Amino acid sequence: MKSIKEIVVLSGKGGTGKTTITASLAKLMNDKVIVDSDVDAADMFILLDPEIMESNEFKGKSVAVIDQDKCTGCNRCRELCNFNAVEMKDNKYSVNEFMCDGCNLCAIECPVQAIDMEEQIVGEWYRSKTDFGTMIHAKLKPGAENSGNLVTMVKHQARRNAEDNSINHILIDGPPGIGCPVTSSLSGADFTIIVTEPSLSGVHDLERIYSLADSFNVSAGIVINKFDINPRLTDKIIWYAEDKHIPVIGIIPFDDCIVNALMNKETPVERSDCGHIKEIIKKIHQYAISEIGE
Amino acid sequence: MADRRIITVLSGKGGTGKTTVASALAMTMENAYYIDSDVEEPNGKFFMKPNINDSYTFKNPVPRIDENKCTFCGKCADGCEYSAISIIKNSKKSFVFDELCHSCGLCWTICPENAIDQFPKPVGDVNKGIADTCSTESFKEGLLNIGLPSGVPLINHLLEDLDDNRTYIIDAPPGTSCPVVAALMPCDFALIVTEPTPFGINDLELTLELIRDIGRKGGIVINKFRNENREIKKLSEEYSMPILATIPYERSIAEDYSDGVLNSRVTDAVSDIIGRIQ
Repeated sequence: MKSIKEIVVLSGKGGTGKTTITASLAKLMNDKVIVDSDVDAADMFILLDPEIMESNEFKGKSVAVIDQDKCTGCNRCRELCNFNAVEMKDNKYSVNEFMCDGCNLCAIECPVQAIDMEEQIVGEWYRSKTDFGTMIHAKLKPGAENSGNLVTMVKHQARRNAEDNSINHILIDGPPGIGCPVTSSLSGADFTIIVTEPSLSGVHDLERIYSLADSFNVSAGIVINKFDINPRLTDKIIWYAEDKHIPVIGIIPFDDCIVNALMNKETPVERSDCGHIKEIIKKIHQYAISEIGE
Repeated sequence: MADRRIITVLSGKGGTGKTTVASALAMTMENAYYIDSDVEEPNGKFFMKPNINDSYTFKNPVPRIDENKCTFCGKCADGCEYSAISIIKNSKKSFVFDELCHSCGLCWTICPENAIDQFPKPVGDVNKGIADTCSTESFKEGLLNIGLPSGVPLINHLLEDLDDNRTYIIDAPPGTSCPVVAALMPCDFALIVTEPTPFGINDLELTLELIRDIGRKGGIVINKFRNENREIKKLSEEYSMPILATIPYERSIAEDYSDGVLNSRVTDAVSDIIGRIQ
């Protein structure tokens, strides 16, 4: 039986306000583990100031390494590699670690066994203490692969932590896009808050991220951020939401007080000049909680 | 010596203005070709307003096992690093999980019975066309199918076979992981668009680190600029990637962006950049 409920904040398009909303919710919500699953540009720590209690290495895929003494230059690996990772310069073969996908094909097929697969540490994940509860987060080495697997790892650790401490909710700040780290973030979630903005890009990306959430059978609520930037497109988002029967659970104006809060590494909910924004985020919080149960 | 230039525009953090800067560059530079490699959420079309005249579906091979030839030896399943094949020896059954497959070719290369065929599986669509400001083909984008885990094969496809004697502007995805690496690999110059917020600066440093590790030249554009930022200046010096231009923090720019319009403050800033990277 599943009793721990997961809320994930997504957007499709980057920079619409996911992390601001998630960190604000983290400050309003009780009884949760906080997760930053945007592992390749993790920013929520800036607003929540976590104290790292436990840090663990994350091993990614292996990378092929060619032994120059054994290599005869037969070109077999370069011919076979579907990732164009084998480079040849001055008749010397080498593997570009950024392009290698770790499939092992070259190592198996090399006629003189000159290729070994070497395991890589591609990131770290952390269990941290914040003033608002435990936070599980991670840092992927720039350029690394397997961000989806690291997200799965971080979510698994959050769930374990919630189980061990009888915590009922997990609040996740998701990555942008619709690719593997996003699908890993959505998988197993109970409710997703999609933060969008009234721009042509925002509307386009909203439709794509909602299709993905829907294919995972995760119910959604929409937050329109910077709604007054373009009233025509805000209307369009509202019509889209009505058409798809998605509730619009928050409408936030373009307001300098939010930028000023972020500049000070604060969220709008703790700033006196941002009281009107706090009221909106409180309603988003209430809606999310009613959706997943206390 | 071919006179080809490839500039990748990237940011780490999403929403800092990659697409704004990339499309302004493409429209301002003579005979430039814009490539939208943010295949998960491509948005350059809203600014480039291309007349699309060529569209097709890009496919990548995945294995299909011929159970008449298969001896269920299990070598393909054991060898697959992505767990995309499962062979049940006792009941003589094979399963392929297309969504886990990376199309590496290991299974069909090593199968002792030649029992594995390559089946072309759709990854996404490619749209090519003529941008508003150009008279020849000057725009392409990839649109990853929803539900697929990785846009990397589609990005690599978009960046194959680029012409000599042309300038390409590649609009990269956000983040710093594998899709961004794919968009950076072919470039001569990496243009980073950042914003002077704690988020922007944190992701700027990750991006600078990535560009340095891959070994590319780079420069920085500060968007939503309010006043001199010491941290960005310090990072710029530390990584030897100069600040090339600033775009002011102004509501009217955000309003224009929302409708796919490039504000004159953006095109002014971009003119400064062109002078400094040529």
